[in-house]
Amino acid sequence: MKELHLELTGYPCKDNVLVKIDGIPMELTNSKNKNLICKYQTEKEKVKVEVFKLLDVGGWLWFIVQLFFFIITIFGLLDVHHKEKCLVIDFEIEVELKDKSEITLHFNTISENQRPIEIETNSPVKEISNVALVDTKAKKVMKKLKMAKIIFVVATIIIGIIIVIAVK
Amino acid sequence: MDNQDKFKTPNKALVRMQVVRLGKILFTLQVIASIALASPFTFAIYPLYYAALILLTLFTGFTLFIAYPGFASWWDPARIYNFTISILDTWKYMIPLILIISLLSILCLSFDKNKKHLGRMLASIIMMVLVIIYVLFRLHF
Repeated sequence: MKELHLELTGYPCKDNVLVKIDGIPMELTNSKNKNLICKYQTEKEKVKVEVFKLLDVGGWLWFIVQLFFFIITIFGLLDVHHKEKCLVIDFEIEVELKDKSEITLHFNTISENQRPIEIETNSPVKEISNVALVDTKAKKVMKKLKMAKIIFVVATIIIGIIIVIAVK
Repeated sequence: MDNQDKFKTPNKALVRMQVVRLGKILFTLQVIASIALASPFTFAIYPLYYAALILLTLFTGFTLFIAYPGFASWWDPARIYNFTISILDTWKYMIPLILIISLLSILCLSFDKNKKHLGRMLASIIMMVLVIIYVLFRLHF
């Protein structure tokens, strides 16, 4: 049985990263030095490791939830959410396993078309992809959301004016 | 980008993100509501009163000044006394609301597996205790 130890360091936002080994999503835990770690055991000689940055962008239900948040935070005034830049990480490597393989993935500052991750390992690694990309589909959804928010604010002001005139 | 579905966030993770975000929003609302309730006893009443007036003015497109000539007098600091009395009268509704928001906020924040929101949770619990003390004070005197 071969064992793979994976460690992720320097990730700016630890709650939105997904690691898959041979297509299986891994359960990440915090190490003592606050890095994310996971272990994987297999009989295989080679495994594929993928890392994804999860975007806070979804389907139509997500869209409605965002509008609900926009309203309850008084049109975003009380919102504490970070701005979604729609940058995703396309990272895929193939690792030739030893009895005990160790891989450390160091995250760089994520910017478009740059290498987001540096690899440190004691096993031979074949890098298939390692690039940060803008998710155009997510970007379109974010644009639509921005438009919907503007329409909401304008509609509220118009309704406010109509109510004042009607009551008068 | 050739295969965009590869980067699609799993629904479970997306729901968790929204629940945690709702927890943060509820915490902020709870802080605002607690400040509003305590404002008659502090100077917070002044910024709160004028913030409410500014929002009302903006969302009615300044028409309130034309429709109600008396609206200009609302900006007089002397009107704050009436506002204070009206806030003090709302405590029967505000307190259950703050307690419910606090509990929901703690519940939502506890869904975050990667980050422990101890600061926010502790602040919520302290605010709940203070609110209960306030109720006991109001019922007793």
